[in-house]
Amino acid sequence: MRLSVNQYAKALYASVKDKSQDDISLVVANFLKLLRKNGQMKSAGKIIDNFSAIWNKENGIVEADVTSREALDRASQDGIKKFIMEKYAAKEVIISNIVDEDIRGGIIIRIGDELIDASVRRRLADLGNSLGF
Amino acid sequence: MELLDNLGIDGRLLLAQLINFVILLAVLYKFAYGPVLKILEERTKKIENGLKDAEESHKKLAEISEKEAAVLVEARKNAQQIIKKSEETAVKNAEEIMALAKDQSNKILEQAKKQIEQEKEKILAEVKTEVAGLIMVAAGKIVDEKLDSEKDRDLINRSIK
Repeated sequence: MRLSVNQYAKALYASVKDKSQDDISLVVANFLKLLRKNGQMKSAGKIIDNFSAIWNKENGIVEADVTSREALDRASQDGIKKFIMEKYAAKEVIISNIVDEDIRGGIIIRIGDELIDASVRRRLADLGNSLGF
Repeated sequence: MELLDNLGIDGRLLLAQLINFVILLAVLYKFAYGPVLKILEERTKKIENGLKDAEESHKKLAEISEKEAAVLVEARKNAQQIIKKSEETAVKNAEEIMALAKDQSNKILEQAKKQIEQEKEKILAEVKTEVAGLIMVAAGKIVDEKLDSEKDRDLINRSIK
């Protein structure tokens, strides 16, 4: 029977969740062997992505892509982490800072499918919309 | 006879003259009086006929005049009816034409109003777009010039509070 990407990811999570670091390495090695045996090495990337999502969800970890005009300093990053922890009841927040001058200021936070756009570009667009532009 | 002789009248001559006279009278009666009488009778008859014809003609003329008058009255009546009908038709047509003209003028007016309104809305929309574009450009420039790193940080901090 051919397993789906999600089923592999769930199985992998179940295998490693209470294991020590050494055991985890062994489990992962065996898992990769199983994938090769089943001819599903091509799906390894997607399985890892799904596994990460399950892992983060189960362990209260939130990964956020934060876009800003300039690289965020430590204080700003801490503030953003605190904001996300409170909003998502997360234990840990991992921020990936993307620098994009086109947003002209402010920040855009993307967590999974959710998007918080507090950029100046969006505010200007809102202004344009309200003016019927 | 003696008396006649005394008067210088010859009896025989007189007799002869009498005979001559009678003969003349007979001849005249035969050849002149009869035809003249006949002619006179014919003339009288002709005149009578003429008078009769004239009377008949007069009568017929009167009848014709009467008929003519009746025809004239009828014709006048018909003419009046035609005129009346024509007047009524003309009035009706005029009313219809007036109503049509009014209707058309109202339509044209309405269309013109609509067109003016559309033009107005179009111009307003264009002006609005133009003004909005200018505001957007100005706002973008102000943001780019005034939003330094510090203000950007403040903005970010305000966003996550």
